[in-house]
Amino acid sequence: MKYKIRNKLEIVTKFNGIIFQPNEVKLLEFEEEPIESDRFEIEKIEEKTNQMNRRKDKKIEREEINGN
Amino acid sequence: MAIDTWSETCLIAIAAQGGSNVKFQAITETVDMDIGDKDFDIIATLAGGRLVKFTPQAETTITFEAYPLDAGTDTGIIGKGFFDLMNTADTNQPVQISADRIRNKYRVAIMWTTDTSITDATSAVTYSATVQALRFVAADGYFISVKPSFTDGVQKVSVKFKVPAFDSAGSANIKMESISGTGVLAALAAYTTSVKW
Repeated sequence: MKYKIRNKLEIVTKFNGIIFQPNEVKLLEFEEEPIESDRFEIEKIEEKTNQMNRRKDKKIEREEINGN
Repeated sequence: MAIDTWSETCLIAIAAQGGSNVKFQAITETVDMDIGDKDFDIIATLAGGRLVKFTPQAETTITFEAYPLDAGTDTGIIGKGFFDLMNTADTNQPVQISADRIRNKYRVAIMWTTDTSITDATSAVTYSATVQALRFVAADGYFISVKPSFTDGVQKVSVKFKVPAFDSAGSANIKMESISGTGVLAALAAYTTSVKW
């Protein structure tokens, strides 16, 4: 699953062995949900993407039906 | 009744820029503040007088002797170790901190207070007949030394934090404050790149 990870600190910090510059945001993929940290904002983005894809699919479906 | 001396206990809070205040008093035994001298040289004149030539204020060094069980503090506001203060911090277990060339700025606050309900060196203190406080703050400094030893049969770490008296714009990096009369010693603001205290 994909996660949007943001370093909340204004110093260089490591998260799961990955170095983050101050306030840096990275999109990372983890098999298991990463452990929460008070120094990082962790946002799961997989579901959102799926929802967006589902919405797009429905929109295309509707357009196809209307077109026909 | 006013106290005679500050003795036995004090509070220590260390914050990374943009980070929380992490308390270190529970694992620290001693703290020494070598505040930089505002020294001067003298020039002896042929008339027997002395001219004073001021030298810029020296750096301040704070030394801690502590007994940590961990390499660093992975999460939370209770300090667990010091090696992450000198290198890049790790936020996951196992905590792994390798030597690197990164230099991160930190703020150290040390407070003595008779208010036993306060556990954070950055907290506000309201004066009363039984409550007073003294606080020293040093911001925009660096941890320059973390030296573990095991000579007395116990693992002890000597830690040094060094800070210049001023930043590049000439603003103070250190301050001493106290409250022993009516009023409130305000809490320190969150430490960021633009706010020291």
